[in-house]
Amino acid sequence: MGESDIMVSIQHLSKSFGETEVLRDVSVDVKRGEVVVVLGPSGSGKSTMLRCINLLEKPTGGHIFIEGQEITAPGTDVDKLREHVGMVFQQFNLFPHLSAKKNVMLAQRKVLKRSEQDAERIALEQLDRVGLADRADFLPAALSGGQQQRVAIARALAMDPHVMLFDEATSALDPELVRGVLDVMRSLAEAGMTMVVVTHEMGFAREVADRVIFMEGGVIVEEGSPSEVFDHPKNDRTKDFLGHIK
Amino acid sequence: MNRPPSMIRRIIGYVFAVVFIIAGWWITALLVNSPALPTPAATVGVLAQNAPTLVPYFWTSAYRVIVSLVIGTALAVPIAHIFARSRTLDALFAPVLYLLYPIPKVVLLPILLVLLGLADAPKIALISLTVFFQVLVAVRDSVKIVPESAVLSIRSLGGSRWDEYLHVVIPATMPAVFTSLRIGVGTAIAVLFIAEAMAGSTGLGYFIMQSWSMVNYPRMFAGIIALALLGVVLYAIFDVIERRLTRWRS
Repeated sequence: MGESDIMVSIQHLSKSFGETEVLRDVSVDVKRGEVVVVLGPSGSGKSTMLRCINLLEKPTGGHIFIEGQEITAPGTDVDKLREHVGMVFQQFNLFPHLSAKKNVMLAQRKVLKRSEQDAERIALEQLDRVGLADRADFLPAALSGGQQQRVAIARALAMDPHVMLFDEATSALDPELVRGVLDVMRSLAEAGMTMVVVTHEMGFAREVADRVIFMEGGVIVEEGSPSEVFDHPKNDRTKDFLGHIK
Repeated sequence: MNRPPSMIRRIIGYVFAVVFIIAGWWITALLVNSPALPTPAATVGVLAQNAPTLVPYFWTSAYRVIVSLVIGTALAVPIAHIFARSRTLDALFAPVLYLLYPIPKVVLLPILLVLLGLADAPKIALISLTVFFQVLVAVRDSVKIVPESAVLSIRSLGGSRWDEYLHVVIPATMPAVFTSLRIGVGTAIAVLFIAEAMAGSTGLGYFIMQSWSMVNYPRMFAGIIALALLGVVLYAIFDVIERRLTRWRS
């Protein structure tokens, strides 16, 4: 496997908040086009790991490479890096004063300096991709939570990310709205997007993941294909966690 | 959307309110039966009659309140943002704010009169100070409750610190600015009245108290109505601006 096949490389990552160690010596490689699902109880460090990938959290130790470039090196252009790393959060955080289309256009205009026409065309394409072409002119307050989250996904996709990070993207949604968002994520995976997904949706993990990572207490406890982790977990803590979920 | 019906409903609401207030005033005036409280009908005549003398007093008062609201807000908003964003400064100044906020600023009037004279300056200083604290506290608190996740979102899109303010923090705190201003108008007018009544020979506060000492109750009442109108108009202006700027909240 060549260097260029590795999209994200996390090497011996550690992170502490004051005295509390949240991540301890975590190493993960994510290949181009791979979908990695990260599972684990709350407080296991999953979200922190995800946030380290686009430096929303600053690692205390270790190295992270994106497409072969070390982002943890001093003097990294953080804004440049973030252009290639899309992220979707549990809270959708759309700009409440802007329509769905304008939400998707804003960062394209300000950060990528695209022209008004290009930004609008791409915004409409991305909204269509998440199934919301007919909601382009709606304000966030007029959309359901699931629709808002899909706009947030379109907003991230419009920046042409090379990798997408999902931080519990469906956890804040009513159960009946979860499916629409998961469908969008599934179609992204099928289109070959590299994805790192923190979720509690076991069905999604089983069907869509190429690889499943189970974390607890800031370390990777187990990893493997979905069938290895779900059907034949080797570690007792993984078994325990999966037992509780079912 | 359903703008027309809600607009009509609002107008009906205001018409009802005006009728209700005038009816209440009329009944009270008849019951009290004192020259100090004329009926609405008598007041209209008195207002018309006193309008020429009243108008310059009205503009003096309006000028003072508006300038004070602008100064107070212009100072409070940036400071509120700085406090809310800097943990060190906030830790340092929060206790100061906590101790100063509840002090009725109007008690400082005598000091300001000694320092700044009897004209506009002490009144503007006093009202600005009152408005400053109200806006400062409201905006600082509203900046603090902007969810961290909203800021992370725009950062993850490659937005700069400036984008963060322009597109997330400032829109989120806009309602607090206007709510504190609307509440502030009432206090500002009250402080204005006291300041003008106590010192100088200009403004509606002076006009009202002068009429009172001359036992010219209709004239006094015309002044009171003018001061009330000033408050209502300013309140309504802020309300309209707020609606315009925060239309997305509906």
